[in-house]
Amino acid sequence: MLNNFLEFLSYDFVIRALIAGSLIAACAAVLGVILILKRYALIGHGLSEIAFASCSAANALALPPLLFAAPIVILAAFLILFVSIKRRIGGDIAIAAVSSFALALGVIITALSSGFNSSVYAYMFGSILALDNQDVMLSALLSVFIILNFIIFFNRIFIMTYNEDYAKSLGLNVNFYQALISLMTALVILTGMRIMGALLISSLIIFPAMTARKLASSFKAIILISALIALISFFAGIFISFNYNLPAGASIVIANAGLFMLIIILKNLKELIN
Amino acid sequence: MSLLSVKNLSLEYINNIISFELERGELIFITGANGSGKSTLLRGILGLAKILSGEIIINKDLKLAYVPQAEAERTEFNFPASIREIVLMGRQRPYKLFYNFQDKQAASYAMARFKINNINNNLSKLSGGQVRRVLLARAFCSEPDLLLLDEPCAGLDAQGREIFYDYLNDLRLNLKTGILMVTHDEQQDLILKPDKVIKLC
Ligand SMILES: Nc1ncnc2c1ncn2[C@@H]1O[C@H](COP(=O)(O)OP(=O)(O)OP(=O)(O)O)[C@@H](O)[C@H]1O
Ligand SMILES: [Mg+2]
Repeated sequence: MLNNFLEFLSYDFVIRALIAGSLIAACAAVLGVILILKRYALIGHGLSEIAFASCSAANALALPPLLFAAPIVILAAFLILFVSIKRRIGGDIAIAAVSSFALALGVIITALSSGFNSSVYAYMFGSILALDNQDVMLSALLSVFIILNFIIFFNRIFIMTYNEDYAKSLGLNVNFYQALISLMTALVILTGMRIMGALLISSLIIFPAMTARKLASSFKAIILISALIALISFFAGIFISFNYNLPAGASIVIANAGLFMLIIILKNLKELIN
Repeated sequence: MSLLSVKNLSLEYINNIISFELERGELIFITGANGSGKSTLLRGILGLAKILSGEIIINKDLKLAYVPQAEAERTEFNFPASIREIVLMGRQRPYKLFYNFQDKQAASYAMARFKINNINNNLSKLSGGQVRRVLLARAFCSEPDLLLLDEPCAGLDAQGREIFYDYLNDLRLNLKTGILMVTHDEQQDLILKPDKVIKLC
């Protein structure tokens, strides 16, 4: 079994999947920490539905999907984050309303045009084993961008996430960091959609951060642990998917959920023993 | 030029028209009933409250530090940050991306002075008074030019207040920090001897 798996790992398309997938998973997990702490956990979900709608529209119009979707999703990320801050309305309500509308629109456009063909299906559920070199390059570039931003602006992103008013009182440009976080989120969703699918990408944002929160009490630790958990779940998911011949994206989500539950159980056991 | 000069200021939600000047090394108390706008005045100076008319003149390069009234920090939010990380925030400055050795030392000094131990602990595991000490350490370790304190002693025990008075006088005398402090405690007039008292109504 392991031998078979190792052989599977040597295929080009598998290597591409592993590189691009693990990079995106780690980036999503790091961003996820910020988003769940700012209570924007749903933004990933909302944006992915908007991304899906844009891709199906592009598909119907015979335009390049990612290029078409990118500006729409980035704009949506800015709108959601800025509007909910300025107006102090519940971010979750705005996201739920806008994104379910977008999803419905996507489904209608799809039905009116070509119907559910394979490329629409790929946006919904991802196609991790069908990535090309361009996808790998894109994920690599994106991860470098995100990781660099996190290293350079780590302390500011931390203060921003902790309390925006306090960040302002220190003279930090809150809008800039807000925009940066929106941009990074939108880019992760767009790239991740190819791999995980619109329906599952948001779980890469939420699960590792949720699990890491159970394990760490400092901000730096939670970020690092979140990335680590994302990587473990990603490889575990790929392994499960190969072994039981299951869809990769869904297997990764299951691995994430399993790890989360495992941690909860272990933590409760530890408390019982103490 | 004064450190801070407030001219005919009128802010959202509050009735007072406020004017005053704060010089280096000066301490001004702000008093007044609940809801009279003391916190709003501090927030206005920080650019966090809407100004209706009048002006606030303040040099942009000044180091500002702010201790909000307790509820402003979302401790109930269970934020996963260690005490050390929170106090170090005070050393953040525009154009400063990373904390250096000096920053870490200043933070350690302030935490030691406020007798904060367990610095790797999570903020959510502290009591109200301990949180207050952390917020004060964060502001004081920044060695500010202008310090805005919103009921800084709320929740502090006798030892905590003693440390606070002592530390505050240090900043005022040695660093010539200008201090604006909201308080309800009349005894503090005698202890801290403010240069002015502004009463809002
Ligand atoms: N977001 C808001 N919306 C409406 N009114 C507000 C808001 N924030 C403050 N106020 C009003 O502004 C006034 C001043 O509030 P502020 O918090 O500045 O009072 P304070 O003097 O600090 O009171 P306390 O002694 O209780 O801390 C209050 O009457 C309050 O009701
Ligand atoms: Mg107040």
